[in-house]
Amino acid sequence: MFEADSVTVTVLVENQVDMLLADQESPVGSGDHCVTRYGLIEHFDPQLVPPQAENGISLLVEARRGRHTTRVLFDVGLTGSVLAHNMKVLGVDPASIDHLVVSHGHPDHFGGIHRFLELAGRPIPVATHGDAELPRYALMADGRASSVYNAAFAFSAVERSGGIPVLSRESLDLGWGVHTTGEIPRQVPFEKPPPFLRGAPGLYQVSADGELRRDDVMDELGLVIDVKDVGLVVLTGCAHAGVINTIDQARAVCGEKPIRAVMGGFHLGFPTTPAENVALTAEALKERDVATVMPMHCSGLRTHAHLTGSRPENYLQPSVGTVLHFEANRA
Amino acid sequence: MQTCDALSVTVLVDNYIDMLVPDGPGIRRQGMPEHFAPRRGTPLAENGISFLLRATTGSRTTTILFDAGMSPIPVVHNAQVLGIDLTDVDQVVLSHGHPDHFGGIYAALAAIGRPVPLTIHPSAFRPRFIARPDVVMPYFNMQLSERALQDAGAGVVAVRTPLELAPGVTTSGQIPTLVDFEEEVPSGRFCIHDGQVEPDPIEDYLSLIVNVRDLGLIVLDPCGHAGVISSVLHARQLSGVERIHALMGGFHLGHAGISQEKVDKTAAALAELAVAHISPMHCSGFRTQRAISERCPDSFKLMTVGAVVTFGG
Repeated sequence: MFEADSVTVTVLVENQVDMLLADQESPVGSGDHCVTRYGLIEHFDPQLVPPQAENGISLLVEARRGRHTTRVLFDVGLTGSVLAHNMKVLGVDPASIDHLVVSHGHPDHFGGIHRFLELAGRPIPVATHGDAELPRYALMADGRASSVYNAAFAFSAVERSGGIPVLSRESLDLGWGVHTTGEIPRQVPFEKPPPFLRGAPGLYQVSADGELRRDDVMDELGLVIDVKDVGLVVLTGCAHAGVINTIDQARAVCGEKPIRAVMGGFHLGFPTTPAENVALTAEALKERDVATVMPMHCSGLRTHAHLTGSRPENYLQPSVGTVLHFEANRA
Repeated sequence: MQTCDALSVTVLVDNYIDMLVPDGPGIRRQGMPEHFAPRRGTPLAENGISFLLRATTGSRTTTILFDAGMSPIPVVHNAQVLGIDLTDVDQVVLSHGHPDHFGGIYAALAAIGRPVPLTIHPSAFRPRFIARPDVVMPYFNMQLSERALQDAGAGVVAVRTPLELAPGVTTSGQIPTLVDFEEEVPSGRFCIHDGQVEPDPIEDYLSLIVNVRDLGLIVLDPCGHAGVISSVLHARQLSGVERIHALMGGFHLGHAGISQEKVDKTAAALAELAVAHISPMHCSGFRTQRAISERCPDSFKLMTVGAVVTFGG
């Protein structure tokens, strides 16, 4: 399989922005100055426009090999307006994207798709899982129901906007070491969902056979970039499949290589996620010797608090506009 | 100091949005239903802060816009998402002349749509610049001027001393730094004053102090430039009210160069003051949020854009 010589990941959409964060090495003390921030100077410069944040996620992946670059957009945020704004602010040309990957069919991940396809102005492949468009709704703990919320991601609607749905349960090779994970086996015991109770608050989905089921978001895919002499960079959208399961699946796809970084939603911010999962996740990341850990989006304050305490040298705080670069033997 | 019967504080702009944080006693948020099936759009976050206060005494409510975020879109967009009519605003206050606090002011004034008093410290208009070994940025606050504010409909009230805005609501006026560990030597930041280049003490910085009947003081401290503990102690001195019920805002501890010791001392001081509601926002940094959530777990209230907090009434 091909490997990338280097990869650059740009945080286009995220739940938070913080101009006070400094550029840094990651892990701290490694000598690898891999993290650049959209900082105070950029925010205060009257000639520049500041980026926005929203409850969603979008990451730009640029994998290089020789003189070739492949640009993969991983998720498109909640509204599209924030993605469009931040692409402009950060100098990303929507038309330069080769491939869109939508991690799963939740609005905070696919929401910006129609706006993005319009800005791209040409047909763009959209890799996702075939179950992502099946109707979903939620029962809230206070008894409210949220009506079907993923209709905008019907594949027919995606096609009308210029997207080319590429539906696969298997891992897809997007070129230069970039792969989707495919469907992620739920193997790690603490990441297995609790037993299904019909009528209990939670997420529901209607299956292709017309069965109502608890929505375990089996459609969730991660993205992995295999970087030469560096290891694997693993991206999670919301990690409904579990961030550790996602990492293990990334290794199943690319081989038993070091995990250079994991970033994305860790799905530990949900009030219903057992509190002990934060510590169990931190422990499992340590066991797998993950060098850089950037919990984003739905990871929750408990996760940030735990990781800043237990593994401060490996922890990275997320912020819109942050750029991470991974490359072996950098000058 | 007078009291008001009830106060609601809406987080119009902040650096953080999270639909997964549940409502709590006195706190309503924009949750998952509001994000997945929005009626009027979904809230935006940015690196800035803005509060909308509604202080009610008897049958009269005063609506105050305190800061306006970093840029024109979020403050106005979020008000619309939350169903807030900005034409209700009676008073505007700017905490200081930094772009992450005044950036959205012209858009907000346009949305208010009629002349409105705007309270600000006169030193906020001094030309400011950053000069560090790696960068020089002259006059980054040039978009803030008395003239431009007036042209946008503000009746500028430039005042150094505290100013009462409604029963039980006052600006802090200039805030003295009252505790040793909050003393700061300005580094890399300068202003021009009387034709002289000087290190910038950010003397224009103000907070808002609200005395809610039966509860005590609510201190809104958007960027903590005077130090949040000093700001709280100053609020006590100014009002003659001992009890600090709530502190919300930017604690200015998010810079990489701030020592863990300062963060811990701040958390310890707030624990000692027995503040019932503590919300470190905006420029506070995760370290501070963690320290306070561990030191004062019952008082720590994470703020998210669109949250509405109700005190009293």
